[in-house]
Amino acid sequence: MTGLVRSVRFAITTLVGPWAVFAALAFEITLMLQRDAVYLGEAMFTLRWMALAFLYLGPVIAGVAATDAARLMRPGQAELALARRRRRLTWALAWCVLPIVACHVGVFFVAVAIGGDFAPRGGWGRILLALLAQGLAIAWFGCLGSCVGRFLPPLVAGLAAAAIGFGLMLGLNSDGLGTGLFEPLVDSGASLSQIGLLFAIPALLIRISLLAVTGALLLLAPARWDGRLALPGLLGWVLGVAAFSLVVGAALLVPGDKDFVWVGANPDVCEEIGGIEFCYFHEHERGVEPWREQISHLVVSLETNGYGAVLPTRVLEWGRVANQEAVPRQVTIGSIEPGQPPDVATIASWLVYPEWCPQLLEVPSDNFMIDARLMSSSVEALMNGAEETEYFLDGSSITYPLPVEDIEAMYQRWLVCDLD
Amino acid sequence: MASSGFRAEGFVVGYGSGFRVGPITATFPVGVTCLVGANGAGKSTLFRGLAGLQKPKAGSLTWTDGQAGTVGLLPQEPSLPARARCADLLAHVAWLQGVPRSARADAVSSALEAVGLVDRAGQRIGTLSGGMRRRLAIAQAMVHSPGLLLLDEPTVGLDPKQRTGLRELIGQIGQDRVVLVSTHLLEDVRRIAQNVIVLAEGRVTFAGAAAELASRADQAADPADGFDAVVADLMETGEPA
Repeated sequence: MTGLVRSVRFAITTLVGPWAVFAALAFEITLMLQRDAVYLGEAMFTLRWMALAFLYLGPVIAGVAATDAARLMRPGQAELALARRRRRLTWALAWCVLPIVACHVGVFFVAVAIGGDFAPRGGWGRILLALLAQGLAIAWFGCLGSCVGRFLPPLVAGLAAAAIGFGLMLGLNSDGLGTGLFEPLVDSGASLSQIGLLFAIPALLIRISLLAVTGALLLLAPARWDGRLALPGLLGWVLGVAAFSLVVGAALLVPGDKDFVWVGANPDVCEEIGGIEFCYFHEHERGVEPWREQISHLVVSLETNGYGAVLPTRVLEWGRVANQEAVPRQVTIGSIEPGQPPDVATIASWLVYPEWCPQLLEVPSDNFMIDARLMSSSVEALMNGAEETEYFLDGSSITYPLPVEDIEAMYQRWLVCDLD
Repeated sequence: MASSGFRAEGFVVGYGSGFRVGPITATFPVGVTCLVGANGAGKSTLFRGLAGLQKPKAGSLTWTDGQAGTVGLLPQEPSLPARARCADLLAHVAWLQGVPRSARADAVSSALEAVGLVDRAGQRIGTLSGGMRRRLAIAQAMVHSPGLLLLDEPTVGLDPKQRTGLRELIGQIGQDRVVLVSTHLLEDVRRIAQNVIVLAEGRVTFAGAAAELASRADQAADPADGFDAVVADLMETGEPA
């Protein structure tokens, strides 16, 4: 029998920690299957999407690590735990944290492989640094639990560490009270495409250093054992307070708006659909097909009914664009995600909206709002293939679609940005 | 394993400014030394000090051959993981105690052999009898071949037969190392001690050969229970009867 098999068998029969990896895996897989895996194709988005799990993952890790540490500090076990410079506490912590880190990293690379983003924008360096920060965050929650667990009974320790972990995630991340502050433990994640942004290396290095230093302080907090109880002692208190102060201090003192570098990016794949140039980001190829169909449907619907004059010439996917000029008949649609595109009404309003007009950077006039409603409702009616339908707007009777002459006249005014 | 004894010189251990044990100045030779005292006399506190789990307030411990020896400890209430297998536990403790990887398998085998549990190596700890569990706990205390083995109340909670077997085992283990047995059972002292230290309220009231106590007992009014009476008096008053 090899020593490794013996070690693994001993760990899984005596600790709770190694089993936490299954909870972590369940969390992560559940998260990764949400919203048709919208993050696929973008390594950075994938990593930030995975950060969303930490609100629950962190407290679970802290709670489990605390339970194991507390069990090892019971009389009859503490003698071993305290032997050889607390090697046993570190051992228990490692068995909790390392499988979860391996699971987290594994899930990330599997997602990247499925998404096919093998050459992420900005290179692998920033991505791997951010992944290291997330791995350290997992370890940090383990250190928190291990520290709390030394001084409390197992059940109380598990609950207390989980509560502290949850409180810190809520309080120090932008989903909670600390909105706008630097997030010292883990960035709070993203649910939108990250194209045009890069991880800022200084912020990552600060987070990595902070996690490493404060995690070590929590791990080093010594227990003074009197035979029945383990007590923190003066040094334990000093180390614990120092770790807490550093984390909270970083949240308050480090600028919170420097986590990312805005580099911008323009859609980089273009194709022609019925005379319209349609451009999108290559990372989003997986979700493009329904949009092609909608744009094609728009062209056919408008041209068949004689409304082709209001068709755009260029349709761009939304992004953090760099140096893009406002050009008449060039419109922007939303970020392309897998699954169904937005409904016809939304698409109709995007595809005829005169976004090239500078007035629309501010609140538009009431007249324009009414015209825009008439225009988009007409396009929507055409796309839906509906018969003429009568509506009432501000007490007046309106029939959609408006006559082609009215629509064309309105659009001609929009082309020269006469919106009033 | 250090085959020498060790010496405590003005050794004091205690909590804050409250209860203290010592100062103790004594030599612990190879063999079995019983540390006797009533409940609360400070035996476990002294053990924690000797095991290095608690910093001494004063004094020092030195090995008589000048080498640095290691210590093994059987806690008063050893808590062994019921679902683990015997050999796995010992391998884990050997790793904890710094036994090199290449020597670990041999260390586990030797410890199991020493406590007579070789045929139970692959058995789950929860399925062992109370006596076997106590022997396994002793094995984990000596798997790294410590020069000093501290056994805190090793016979408490065992039935008479198990107790007898364990005493024999302790006697064998004490043949080549210092074994310090904390006990409040005078029968243990009579059967296995070569040397005795008596504690009363943290003070040493006797430190010497067991034969000396036996000699005092022979001179007592009732030799039938003389040994117990002599030790009991030392435990309570610090003065022999």
